[in-house]
Amino acid sequence: MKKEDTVKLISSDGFEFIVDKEAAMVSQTIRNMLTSPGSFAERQHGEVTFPEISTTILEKICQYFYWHLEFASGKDREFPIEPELTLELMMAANYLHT
Amino acid sequence: MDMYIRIKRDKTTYFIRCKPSDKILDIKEKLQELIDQPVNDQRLILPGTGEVLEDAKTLADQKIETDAVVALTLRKDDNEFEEVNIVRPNDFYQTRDAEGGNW
Amino acid sequence: MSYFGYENILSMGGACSRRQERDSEDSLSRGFSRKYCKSGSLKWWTSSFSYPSMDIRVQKGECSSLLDMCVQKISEDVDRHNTFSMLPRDISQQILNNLVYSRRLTGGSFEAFRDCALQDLYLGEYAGVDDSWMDVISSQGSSLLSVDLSGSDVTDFGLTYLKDCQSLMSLNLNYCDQISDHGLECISGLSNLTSLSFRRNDSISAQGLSAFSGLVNLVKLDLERCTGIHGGIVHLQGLTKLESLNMKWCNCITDSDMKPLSELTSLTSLEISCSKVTDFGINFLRGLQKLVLLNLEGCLVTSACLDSLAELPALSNLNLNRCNISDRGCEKFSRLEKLKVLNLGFNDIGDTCLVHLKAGMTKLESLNLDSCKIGDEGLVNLAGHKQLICLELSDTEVGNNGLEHLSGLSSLEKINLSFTVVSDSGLRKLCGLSSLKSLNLDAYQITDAGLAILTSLTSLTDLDLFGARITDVGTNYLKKFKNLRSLEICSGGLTDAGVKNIKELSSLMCLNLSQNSCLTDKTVELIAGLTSLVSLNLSNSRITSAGLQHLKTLKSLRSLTLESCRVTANDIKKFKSTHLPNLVSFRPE
Repeated sequence: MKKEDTVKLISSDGFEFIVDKEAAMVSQTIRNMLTSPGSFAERQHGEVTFPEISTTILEKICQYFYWHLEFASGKDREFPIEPELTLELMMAANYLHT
Repeated sequence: MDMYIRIKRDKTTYFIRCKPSDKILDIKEKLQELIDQPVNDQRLILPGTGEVLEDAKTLADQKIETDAVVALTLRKDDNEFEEVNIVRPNDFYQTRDAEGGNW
Repeated sequence: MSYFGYENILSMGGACSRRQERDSEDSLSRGFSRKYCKSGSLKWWTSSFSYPSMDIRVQKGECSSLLDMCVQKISEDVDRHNTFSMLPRDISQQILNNLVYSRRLTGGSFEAFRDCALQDLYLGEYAGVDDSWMDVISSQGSSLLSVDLSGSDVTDFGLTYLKDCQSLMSLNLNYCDQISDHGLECISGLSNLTSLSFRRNDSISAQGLSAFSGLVNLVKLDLERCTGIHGGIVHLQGLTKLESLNMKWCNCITDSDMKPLSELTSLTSLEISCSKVTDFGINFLRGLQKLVLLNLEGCLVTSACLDSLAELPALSNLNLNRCNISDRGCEKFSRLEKLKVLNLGFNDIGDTCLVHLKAGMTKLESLNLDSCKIGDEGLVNLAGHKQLICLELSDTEVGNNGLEHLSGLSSLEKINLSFTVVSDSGLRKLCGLSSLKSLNLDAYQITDAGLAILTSLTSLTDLDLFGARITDVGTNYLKKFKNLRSLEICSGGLTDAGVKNIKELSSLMCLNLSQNSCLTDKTVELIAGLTSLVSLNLSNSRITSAGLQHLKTLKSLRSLTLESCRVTANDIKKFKSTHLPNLVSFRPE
């Protein structure tokens, strides 16, 4: 596992999640940030800050990324969503195209 | 991909891809790449029980399954390891606590 | 225009009624909640009713997006939520669509959608919709573009709420039997409407249609089965943007109602089937320069109306099914040079008429001669119609010699030879029709030997052998038809052994093996792998309730018919609730 293959996702209150780029790019929005020429800062530092996404939600999003990778390799585990998170998670998923 | 675990210290979480047959030492080596701390200066602990994970044991041995949370502590200047320190976010704190705080 | 109206080639019902139901599309487009579904059809069972299209995520291998999961989750415990008005519109729209699709929406949970600025409310055929829902609908205000309240209990009073929805472009109020002329007044100010539908409403009168006179942007108006509107068409005169007008089954409509239509020069589609319009009325349509489709099915018109029709330069699709056309005067058909689709079924015409079709109609792609007095000699005239895609010869006098003339129709994709005198040996003439996708050989004299001859037709997707005498031996040849989506073999000669060959046909969506009284639960076990099936009929067989278990795998199944089997309605209901979530129609019920 190499550092340059990971990306740091930072929540609204400064919590950090270090995830594989492959996982983060499950989100179309993050994929664009990491690959499009316009977003130099993100590519350079491998860091993306989400001032609108709370820590709990961002972590859940990351868990979904990995759930997605597991699913793609044939593991059919249910992805749990706590009812009290659903609305906010949905907004974030919408923003991240996930 | 077989599985992943979440390794937490302070306000940081590392998502690490792994296999049930990986030894704790393998996990520490993966971490070394990310945090520039030699494996000897790392300690992995189960946050629920406080059990310190031994390098030679596998994740399967320790019954660590996918999505599990493991605490990371580092060796301090005085050669001692720091206490487990996982900062919880405030956003959904109360509701999660009320339901038993599943990490 | 589709040449594959599955509703016409498939009848998954019982053995008795093999004659296609006229206008079956109409009887099918009613919701399943009411018992209008006489027969199933692929088109019906694979369409998504009037509901918004939803990707059904039960398919294996598809990874759900997190957004979809959240929408699903919210839909599952919708009662936790009091309002969605803080959500972006497209998300609340998705939640609503999911609730409607999964039938979880109630009048109570609908409250949460107040002030959501929704654009589309597809509540057609949704149980429980009535005036009490209208306030929330109205709260969408000028965001609302499209509303479907078909089959609801909404009344004239409920329609008053729509006054605030000035942006509304599309409104469906089909089968709303509590709406009358008074309700129409409420929508008379919705001048942005481009599409309006009021099917099957007996209360609307000529006077009521005056409310439409201000809807000047109307492009599509559907008044099918409105039986009281005679005399009111005059109020539509100013709707110069109107392109499509459906007045099928308005049996009150007469020649005098045709006169106002002459002003509607934008019309491209006009349907007045089963009205009282005669040749005289058709005269008024001469000026409709843009008219492409004209449906006169069941009208009292004769060949004399062809003079008027020849004046319509754009006319390419003409339905004269069940009219009074005869060979007398049929030479005028040669003037209808633009026709691509012509339906002459159930008219008193013979081979002479075909001579005139040959003379003029070089663009003809679809020809329906169902139950006409057409014989082998007449078909000579079709030999040159290389562009023919669809040919309906059911219940004619066509026999083996006639097929000779069709052997060169290389574009032919669909042919119906049911109830003709064609026999096995004649089928050799069809072997070279490599484009053929749909073949109806529902005729007693067709046997296994005929099927053996046809194995070169590997493009076939639809094969109807309903009354043909096919046995287990014949099923060996079916293996060649790997693309088959629908198959019917119902003459009683099949046993479980024959079904072994059918289980290989993995593309099958509709399967009818009813009347094969020897079939047992073994058959059900064999077809368990046909996971694409949406419709299955195994009536009049020895299937038992125990056999149902094997159907677990058929998650796409929407229609299941097991009449006269050892299965009760209760057995099916129970099984449906645990294993077949998509089943919407079953018999016995």
